Amino acid sequence: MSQAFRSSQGGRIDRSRPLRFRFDGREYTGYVGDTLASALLANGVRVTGRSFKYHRPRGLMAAGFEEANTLVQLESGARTQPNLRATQIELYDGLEARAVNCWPNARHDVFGFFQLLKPFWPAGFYYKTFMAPSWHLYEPAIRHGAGLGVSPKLADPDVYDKCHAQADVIVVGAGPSGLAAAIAAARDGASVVLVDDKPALGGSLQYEPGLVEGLPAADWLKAREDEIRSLPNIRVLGCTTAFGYYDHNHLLANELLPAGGTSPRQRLWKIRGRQIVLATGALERPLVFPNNDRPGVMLAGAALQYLHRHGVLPGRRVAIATNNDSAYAVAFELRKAGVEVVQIADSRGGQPAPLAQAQVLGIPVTMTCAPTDTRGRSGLQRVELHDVNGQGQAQPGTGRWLDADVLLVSGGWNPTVHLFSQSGGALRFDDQQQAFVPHRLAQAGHLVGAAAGQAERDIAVEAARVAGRDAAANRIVRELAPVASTAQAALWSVNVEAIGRGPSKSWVDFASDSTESDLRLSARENFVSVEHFKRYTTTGMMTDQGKTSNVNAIGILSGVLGKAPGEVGTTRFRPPFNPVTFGAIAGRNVGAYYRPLRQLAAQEAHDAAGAKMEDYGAWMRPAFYPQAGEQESATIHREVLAVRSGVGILDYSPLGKILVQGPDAAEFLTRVYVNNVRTLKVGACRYGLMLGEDGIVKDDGVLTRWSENSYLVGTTSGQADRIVEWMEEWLQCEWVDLDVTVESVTTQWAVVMLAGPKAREVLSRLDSGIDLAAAAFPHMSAREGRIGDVPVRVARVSFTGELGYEISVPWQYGLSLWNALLEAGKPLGIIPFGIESLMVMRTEKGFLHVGSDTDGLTLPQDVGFGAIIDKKPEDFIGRRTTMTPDGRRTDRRQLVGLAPVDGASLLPVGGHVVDAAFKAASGHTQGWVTSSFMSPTLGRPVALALVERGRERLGEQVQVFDGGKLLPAKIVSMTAYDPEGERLRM
Amino acid sequence: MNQNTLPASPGLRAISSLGTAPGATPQLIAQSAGLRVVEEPFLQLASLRLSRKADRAAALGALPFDLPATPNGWTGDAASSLARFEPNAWMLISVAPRALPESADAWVVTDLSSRLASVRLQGARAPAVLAAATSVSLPVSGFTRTLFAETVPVLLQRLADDDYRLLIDVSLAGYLSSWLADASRLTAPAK
Amino acid sequence: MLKIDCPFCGPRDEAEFRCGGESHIQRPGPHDAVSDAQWADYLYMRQNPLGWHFERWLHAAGCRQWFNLARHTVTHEVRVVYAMTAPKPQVEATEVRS
Repeated sequence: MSQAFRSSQGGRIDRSRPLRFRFDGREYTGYVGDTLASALLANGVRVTGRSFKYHRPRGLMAAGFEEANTLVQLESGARTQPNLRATQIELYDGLEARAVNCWPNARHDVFGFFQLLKPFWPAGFYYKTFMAPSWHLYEPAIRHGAGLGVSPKLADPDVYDKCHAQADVIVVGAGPSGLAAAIAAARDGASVVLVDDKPALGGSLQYEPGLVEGLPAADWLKAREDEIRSLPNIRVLGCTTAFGYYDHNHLLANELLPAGGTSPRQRLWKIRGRQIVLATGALERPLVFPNNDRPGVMLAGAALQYLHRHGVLPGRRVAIATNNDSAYAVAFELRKAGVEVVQIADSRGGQPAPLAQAQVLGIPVTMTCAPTDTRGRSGLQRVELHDVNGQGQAQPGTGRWLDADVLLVSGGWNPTVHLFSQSGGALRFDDQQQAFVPHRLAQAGHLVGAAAGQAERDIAVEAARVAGRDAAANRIVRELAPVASTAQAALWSVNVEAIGRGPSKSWVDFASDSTESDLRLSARENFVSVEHFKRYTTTGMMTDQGKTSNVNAIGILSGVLGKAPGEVGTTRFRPPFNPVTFGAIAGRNVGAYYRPLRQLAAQEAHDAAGAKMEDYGAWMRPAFYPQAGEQESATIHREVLAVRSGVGILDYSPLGKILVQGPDAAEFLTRVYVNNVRTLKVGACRYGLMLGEDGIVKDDGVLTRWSENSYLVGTTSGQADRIVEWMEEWLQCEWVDLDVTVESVTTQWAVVMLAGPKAREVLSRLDSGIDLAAAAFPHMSAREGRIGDVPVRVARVSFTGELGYEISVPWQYGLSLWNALLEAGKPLGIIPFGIESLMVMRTEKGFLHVGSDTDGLTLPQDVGFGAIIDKKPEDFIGRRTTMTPDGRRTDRRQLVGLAPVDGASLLPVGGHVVDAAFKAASGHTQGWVTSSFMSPTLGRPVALALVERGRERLGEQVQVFDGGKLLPAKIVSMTAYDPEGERLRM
Repeated sequence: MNQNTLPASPGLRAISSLGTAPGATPQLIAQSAGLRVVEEPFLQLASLRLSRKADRAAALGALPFDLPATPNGWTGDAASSLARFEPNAWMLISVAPRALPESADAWVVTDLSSRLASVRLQGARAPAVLAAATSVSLPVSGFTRTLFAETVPVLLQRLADDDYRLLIDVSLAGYLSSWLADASRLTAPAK
Repeated sequence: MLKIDCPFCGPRDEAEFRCGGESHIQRPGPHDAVSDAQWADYLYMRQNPLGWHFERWLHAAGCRQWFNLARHTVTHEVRVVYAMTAPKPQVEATEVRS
């Protein structure tokens, strides 16, 4: 029998367009306009989930955000999404979903027996158990069983986009008040963005009966929709949930888009509003009483939504339990739809206003009456009622049972204040409304409608228009005036003590399975702060963030602690209001766009030469150039020997280059570098270190003086932007009187390193007009020339230890230069070489690599710059720190060379340097290996290490400890290859 | 070093970051309804930085052209413009080569023609594509540096309602080009 | 995501900026006359108020200029934006405005 609970007419669904879907393996039919929840209800699916802790059978209890029971795993494979609320999934053809936290399905869950363990598993039981012998014994089983839903294991094939927007007024919520505010603001000329989570506008107008400003709700809504269409300055974002309200009126909202085609799956809106008007409505509270979680117990307002939005009847025999007037309207609408309403149990005394209408319709109403129990396998069958007094206490001897398949409950309404609170707004507990209402605003905006505590629709709409106009005019409201309302009666829970029962099955938070007895337990255990009550009982900690439980919990605690609810207070509200998928937050910054990688000018040539490209500090660079079938170590071996015996080229473009110009350039650089700058002549180069103020080595590189007031600062690859920023900070914040200009030119110039004894020969074939003779162009100097009409700058510096030139041309000539050098060097056997070979060669020479041979504690004197500092009279950044007691310690770790005693073992990087006498795995580390490679040139391993008093201990034998093994090694000079530097000065 | 022309040489040849030779057809990055994204190779670009210690009035008068005073504004047209993008820094953008002053006294002039790549974003969908990547709201005479796609700084010039020029570091031109090509294939927000 | 009023560019999203910490810290010198305690203070000691914090900001992805502002550490209200070289302004200890 399909769709047994679908009404014969009505609902905003398209009955001409049926949809087929599967839930928990069974096939059903629904219509366009259904949610998964409404379609399940229409098909009579009562058990839709199992509770988190105890695996109790549960059914749908709400119609929207606040649904606490029915979480599903939607679809499978790459597009699966865990823990979506069935009430928030728009039905589509072919939808497949399964209930989470049960096996094999919600109706028949093998873990249902957990309910029997409830007495042993109260709140916080895990703080008192799973300890002996060790938590880790229990941990794997618990982690495996814990949680809800399953994470996808395949890459998400969908695209998620983002969009920025700005508006004078943002209105959150397109119910009657939101619509009125948005239109009023737009009519006053403001740019407006109207955000609503549903596909269609109207909010409660889609299901609440009655007139709005004299018109039937549907007509009033249509008139507003027409108005909005006529106003070009209103932008409507439907299917968009505003989930986070941040500083300075920054709002995040997530738009869901239909799958398929070129549309992104979701779009994250980042909107800044000069004013934000919140029309977020109110959420109904359930009643707390024993076995109030049985499938078939539902919020009264939700039933109204299912009836009028989706044409779904909640059941056949409906009972209603309430403490306020709103549930009566639900009863009347159900009656009009032909549903039998067997009873309204009203916990209040006296004669509420709707009582007369109920009598006219023949609906039995019992005052001072509340539910105290439910019965039924796989769903509600009977409800027990008792008389209650003014304190909500069940009276002995008044119990009776009622047959019903649905119990609609209403414990009152809470204004939806989440976004308001996130914005920094302060709440107060309103005794008339018996609810937390917004009080003081922290940011520019307003609240309208039920969110402000205004239940009367016509009054709310008129006030919303005023608020909209205020927002358009940017009038600042600091405090909300109390809203006049009839006195509401609170019924935080039905007290069953007098009839001999306890609150251990009076569910407060359906999502986390916390009960009234848990709250009472935590009070007995002396918790005081509401934040602790929340965490100890886990009330409000699930993905619904306690939308149907927090206020009831506070109400219950207020009774237990003897404090007013306002004194107990609310816990902190944090975004997101509704769960947001990580995909939406990542947006398009995934895959290749996760981190922009920079490309070299000569990339085409590197690809043609078969380079193995690697990510080096956000630049894609050749690591090495393997020839057919070559392993990495063989390639590096070949490249190093080729450069040292002949000539090779390496793409050195990422090396940072900064132009520092002006009359005070020398003075500025003197303060920035450890080295003496004033003695640097025009056309000369000098290797220098830069420190932070904490004395730590920040960067190193070659400084070149191109003219009297123009210098080129070299930095390590990829660091130029950081160093430019560093320089600008000093020039703008501290040394504001220096006449210096700084400009990054790293990508203005493509650079090729040409290295090897035959380098001069190759360079001379490029005809740059530069005199390359050793006397005219010595080591550590720089010259300018032209290749044809193209300007070229050549610095004779070397990181390999061979005769070397760094040749710079404007970036767009980089590929051409590379190819020209390969061509020119072909008869000399020129090869391209990569970063890995460069690292081997510089280690053979004992050349420092900042970040490998230095760390966050390395001072310049540790790497041999002590003498340079002593000779420099001026202050420089970090100088004072080198002079602190720690800087003056004689046992500081110093950079030295290390060689294995056996001449063959590769010393492991990170291996600790210990005494020759060291035996066991505890004791003092004297330092560690920082760089280590097999040297093709020398046929043995070479290594650098930071070792305590290293420079005093040359020749001493030590050991290197790594993973339990000890390797004998000797402290040697850093420069293993060509210690006199003859090759450099060829 | 200032270049007044883009040198051609029998020895070395120029090629843009997207693989275009001088005089060849610029790379078309994306073309679809309401959107056209195309490379603008070999623009002449230079930064003119004013020394902190300079006499501003005298220095501004010393140049052979009028620099815009509006912060983050530009003057001129799509073919040749001057923009003020820092309190003491202006940028020259020119399709055809243009004479540049030498650095002297108060001014440091740096050729950036090789350092920045330019992409032109045109059409009714152009503002929506940019809104996906930037939060800045530029008027038509606006020129500013801003953050693009939460990751890289770009210089953004609004030439008309639906005509933008983006300048990005040449080493990131491939990244920007791919990003815009993918963006062009995504449905834009309605309205 | 704060909205910060850059003195040159106008209001921009916080993502374009970098916070440089407490402002109005003078670098002590000359280096051979500064005590260890003074230097440690300069390097490491910072105010941590519940209230107005005077701090440096850099418009890193914008005009690349440094400036100062007074920010309330609880509400994040930015009360005053002022030049890097300007002295610390008086900010009323009155009720924080929205």
